[in-house]
Amino acid sequence: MKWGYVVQLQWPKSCTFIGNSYPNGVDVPCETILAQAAALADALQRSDNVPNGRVALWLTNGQDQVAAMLGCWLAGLAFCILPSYAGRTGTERSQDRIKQVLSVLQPRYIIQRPSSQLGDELTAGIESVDLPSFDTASIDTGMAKARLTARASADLAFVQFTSGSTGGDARGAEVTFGQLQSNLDALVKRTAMSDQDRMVSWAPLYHDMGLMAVLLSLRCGADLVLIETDHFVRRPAAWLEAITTQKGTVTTAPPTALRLLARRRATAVDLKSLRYAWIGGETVFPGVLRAFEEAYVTAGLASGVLQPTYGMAETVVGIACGNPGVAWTETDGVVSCGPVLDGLDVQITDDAGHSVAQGKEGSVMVRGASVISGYLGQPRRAAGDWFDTGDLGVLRDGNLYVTGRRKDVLKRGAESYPAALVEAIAEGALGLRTGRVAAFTNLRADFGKEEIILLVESPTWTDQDARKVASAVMQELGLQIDLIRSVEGGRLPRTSSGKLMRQLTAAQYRDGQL
Amino acid sequence: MMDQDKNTTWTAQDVVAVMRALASEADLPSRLVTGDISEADTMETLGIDSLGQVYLVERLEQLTGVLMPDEFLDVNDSLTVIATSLNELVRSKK
Repeated sequence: MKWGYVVQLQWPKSCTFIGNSYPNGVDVPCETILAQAAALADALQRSDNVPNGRVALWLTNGQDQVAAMLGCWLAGLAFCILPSYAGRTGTERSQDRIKQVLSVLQPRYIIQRPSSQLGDELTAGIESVDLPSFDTASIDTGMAKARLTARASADLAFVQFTSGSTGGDARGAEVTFGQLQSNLDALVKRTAMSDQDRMVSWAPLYHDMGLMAVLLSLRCGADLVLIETDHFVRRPAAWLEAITTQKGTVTTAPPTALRLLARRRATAVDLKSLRYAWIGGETVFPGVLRAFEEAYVTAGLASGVLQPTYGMAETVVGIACGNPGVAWTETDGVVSCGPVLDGLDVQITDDAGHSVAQGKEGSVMVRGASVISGYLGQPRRAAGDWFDTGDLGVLRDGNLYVTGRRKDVLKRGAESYPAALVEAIAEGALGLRTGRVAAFTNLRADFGKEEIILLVESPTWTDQDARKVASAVMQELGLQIDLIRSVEGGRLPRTSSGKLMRQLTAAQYRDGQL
Repeated sequence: MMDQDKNTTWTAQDVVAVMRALASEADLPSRLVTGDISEADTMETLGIDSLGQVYLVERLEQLTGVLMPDEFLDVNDSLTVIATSLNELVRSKK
């Protein structure tokens, strides 16, 4: 159905893709990507598609991902870029994790390359479609653009899997075109992004920050330089080198990347072109920002470029971020994430759900045009309801400060892991009953990182037990645990019904009681 | 942090020393500051994830003065294999 809504996209003048196989970058005309998308849309539409149907994308190449995203939209479908753990299927539990995602998503199609496919046992019943070969001369990209404008505000644009605000099972955040447009517009306005900008990003596209880097560029016609995440992991300096050679003006990264590159300063980089760096995805520590600025001031990094931000998939991506050129500030060791974006309201509430006074800490609640209505397959939230972010924060002088987290989610390098899943793996490795392990994070401003802690109630404890747990969590999730140690039996706090109280455990740990 | 002479031959124990230094700086699991590490251990058995591996590679590059190729450090390489690979790389760059 045509509702007359216009998805306002503007095509970048250039797209450059950088990866392990092409470290110097490959320039791809945007018309080529659009042609590839149109060819895919034709293939999907020939397959008797269902309007608003969902398509799983399991692709690693940046050009493939962008073309497939657009191809789904052209075909009247919504996409979901599968999280990286879809490729981690070495154990039964990790297989179950991706099976759960696919069970919630119920994709009609999966788009993947023959060279890298999910196992048949995972994709049984889902039609697999390859990105078709295409001939740019035969594709009417004008028609493709017209098709994009026919998508309705209430149509599903994409699904993004998240650990949710309270942890536990994977949840698919449903983002409509209307919500997407609202958040993109607010971000464009706040960051003053335009077709004069050049975005450089290595953040994975299954993560809200990575996806938004691409969509922001397409929204305002900014040039796009997309670095494969694996290329950054193998060579972090490649990110700053790309900003240097491509004269990037806007970028996005988690603080982990800044911490890494502040300690090992990349040489021969010139960051004078950079005017806005969206820093988020995990807790931003002032010491990390300061160290990076000090390391690169001689490379031309200006004050007011690094912008601590706050957001989540449930609000599409952004909730708050700073104004361009305005230097970040801190109060009591917590950085300001800037003013709340247009179209969103934030309030801070106490445990009873009442709004607290300015400057008081409480739960961060958000509502507005870009807040999702719900998770796939779960009840809808009423329009105008407050969404509980699961984070703690303070509003002061119109700026949002995020001070902690209530939700049971562990973060490392902007990736989220449900605490309950990590605990279950540890209990399995040690043969313990449920509820004998507590996993939580501890903010370490001195190290500029969130430390992941595992406390184990075990009658006996040796270094070999810690090894078993560390190895099992690594094998199942690819996650490093910073500290694993035992506590006396019965020391982990529980409710009267015996349920582990993680947040109280974390508080007692911080206070030195555990 | 250990002071590895760029011309010396690397052993698995040298790699262990680097890992212990990184653990004391909170880049690798704290268990590795003093816990058991054998020469047969791998990144997986020691619970070192891709981010931890980035820290390790960066530190090894710093100590050897050699840029490690993309294929260096597989998650299942033992510390002995890592030391051998390091020596080959250092020799090839001389």
